[in-house]
Amino acid sequence: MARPTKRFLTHLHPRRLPAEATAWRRTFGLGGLSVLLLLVIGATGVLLAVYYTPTEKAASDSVQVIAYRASLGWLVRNAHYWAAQGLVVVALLHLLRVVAHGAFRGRRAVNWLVGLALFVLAVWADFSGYVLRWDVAGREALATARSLTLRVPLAGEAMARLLWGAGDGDVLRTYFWHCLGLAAMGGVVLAYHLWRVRRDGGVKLPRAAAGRSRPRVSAADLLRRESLAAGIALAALIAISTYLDAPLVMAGDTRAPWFFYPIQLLVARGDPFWLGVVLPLVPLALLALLPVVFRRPRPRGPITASAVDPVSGTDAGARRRDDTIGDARPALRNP
Amino acid sequence: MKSYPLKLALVGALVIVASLLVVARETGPSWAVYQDRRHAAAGDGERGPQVISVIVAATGTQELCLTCHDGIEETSSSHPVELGCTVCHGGQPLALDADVAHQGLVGKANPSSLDVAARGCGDLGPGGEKCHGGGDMDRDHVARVTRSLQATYTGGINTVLKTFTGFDQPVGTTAIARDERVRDGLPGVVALTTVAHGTGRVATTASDLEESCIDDGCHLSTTGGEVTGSVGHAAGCAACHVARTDDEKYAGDDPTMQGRTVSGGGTHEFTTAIPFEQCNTCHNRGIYDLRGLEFYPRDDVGLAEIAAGSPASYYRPNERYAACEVNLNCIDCHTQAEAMGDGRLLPDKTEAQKTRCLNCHGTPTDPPPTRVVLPSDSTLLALGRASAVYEVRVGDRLATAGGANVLSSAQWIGDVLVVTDKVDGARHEVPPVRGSACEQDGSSQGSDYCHTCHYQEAG
Repeated sequence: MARPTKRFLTHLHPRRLPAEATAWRRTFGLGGLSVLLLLVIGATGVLLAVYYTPTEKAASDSVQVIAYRASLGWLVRNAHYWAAQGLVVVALLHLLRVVAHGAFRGRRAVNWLVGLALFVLAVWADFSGYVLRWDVAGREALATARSLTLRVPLAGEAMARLLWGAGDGDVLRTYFWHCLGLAAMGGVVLAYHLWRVRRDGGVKLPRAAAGRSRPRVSAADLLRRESLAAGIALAALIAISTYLDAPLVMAGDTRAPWFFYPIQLLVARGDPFWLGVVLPLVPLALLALLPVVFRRPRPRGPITASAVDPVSGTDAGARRRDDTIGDARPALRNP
Repeated sequence: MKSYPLKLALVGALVIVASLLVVARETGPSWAVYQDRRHAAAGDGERGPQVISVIVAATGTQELCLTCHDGIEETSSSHPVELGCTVCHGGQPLALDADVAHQGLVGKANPSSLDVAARGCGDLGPGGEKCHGGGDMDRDHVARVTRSLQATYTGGINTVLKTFTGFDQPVGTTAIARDERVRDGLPGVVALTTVAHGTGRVATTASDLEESCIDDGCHLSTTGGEVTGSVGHAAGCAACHVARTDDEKYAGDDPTMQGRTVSGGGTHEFTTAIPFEQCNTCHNRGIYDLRGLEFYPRDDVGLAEIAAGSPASYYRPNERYAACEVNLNCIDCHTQAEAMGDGRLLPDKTEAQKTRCLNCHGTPTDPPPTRVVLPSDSTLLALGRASAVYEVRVGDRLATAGGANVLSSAQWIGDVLVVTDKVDGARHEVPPVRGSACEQDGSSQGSDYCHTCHYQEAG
């Protein structure tokens, strides 16, 4: 591996970190897998853009050209699609894992909100990709999204114009959001999220036993593990993409993308604004309020030895409050 | 991580295996099997898979359907490959995955099925023009056929309902299948099923009729049944215009269809040269007993013989047939308007069937009536264009049964009326009654009347 590359990769992680933080059972690699899927989505997205034509007349045909005529176009399209579906699932699991570990409290609250924003962006990107197929399902999804947006009081029309364009058939506006708007926002927010993970002390770990130091591993070792996991994930993605084609619905009945299907069912049963706009925001709002609702009580009594990172020996109060052990380098934690 | 190199090798092997799957798919797409089958049948050896693209002449758009369906017959000389597939069949012309390519098909494999024929055959050509629908009623074949007795059975249904239940209604508004299109001020028809779902005796009778007529599948909106000896046929236009095959297996060269059973069998080719065997599929199978609303198949010949169109199956026992009925095909005498209707909902068959012996043979006192082809006779001229064995030109003198019932292949050549067999092209001079030894009363001529002297015994 070339030296600059190696230096770049090894600096993605702290030089040394607790072995427990890198354990599979601790994080299931969900954050890293999300990043990997994002990289795949980005790379395949660039390739798709070579053929994709974002006009009402040509969009659907260009998707079929990609799927059936371009060399390995089917692989690129399928990998893009399955990576995107995988990202939504993995990101959701990542959120649930964070909730399960209580890693949304204290100083991690900000990054929790950032992560939620990233999840919303991922879903939005997935939805806009669904629209960009410009098949019957995509066009109907856009019409439904526009219709729901228009029901937002006061700002509905402006929001619909901003998000979905001036007309029902505005594929270019969706293309902009998918390829530029969301990509730019997602890139910035993701960079902040990743930086903030380290800033907040890395993976939240259970309190260490008194007097016992945590075993640690090097960044290079972590990279090796990550490279193995990435290889397995990529092999699985390629296999899935080889045997399962991304859908195209050119005629017949359609249904919303799977992550919005419950909303489609709800909207059919009552007022679209309340069931299609407000209700889906409720779980999102509840998740955002988690750090407030489950605020950790302020600790009392003396600082215990178990709360002090034996390696860094710094910021003991913060570690005591959060029971975390992360990066040992003060320079990174106090930029 | 001490075992990292080994693990890395294993993961690398996984990635390589996955990549090999990719190579296998890229070099052997799912549709290649059809091309292999096609090349094997043609004996031209193995070739690599190739996407076959057709540029539709009228629109300049691309269609890839022949990538799988390479070898399929042209529908007719007026439906060449360059017309494209999707203009009739719908579907997705750029897709090479069967599931996606066949989304939005018109009438599944049969766009001429009457429930979709207005789209499949009628309304929109590749340039947006009307093909076999729209415009004047005499050129709107889809509308006429949809309302014809062969499709609706309106007359029979109405007669039965009126006879057994007193259910009187404007003639022929209850049909085998629903057709809500109101065209040229004509009413649509109500499906028999709708009436059968009512209450009382009308509903009971309609239900019996429904079972007898729909389930047994003679009419053009159905595809044949098995209960009462009907022989399977395609639905809609294809029922007559696609030459059926005995085993109801596809008999053409489309590699995707080899060995598949389709209603009526046949190929993708349409014909206007419809042989009597085709008509025999429905007509000559037996009789309906109106008292019991039941169908009784013939007991002198079996289904197989009827299906095979054997000559014996054509002739009913104890009936007599004139030489022309034996030697010609049904469509040589019976006109397009008789077979495909004229747009009216008719009370019974006698209103539809107009051709009589005198239309070609005349009477002891009069020659057969003649119709001169005018430049405005687009339907007649089109019939000539569609045939490979006879022509119709402006100024030709043709035999006629009146109105739209013109016998397009019965043409005067000098003083002789010559009937061209529309199927095999054989020419038959028609002997006139006038000047012969025939002593008939021309004013009361009917087929039975002529059969008194001119007949061949059945069988």
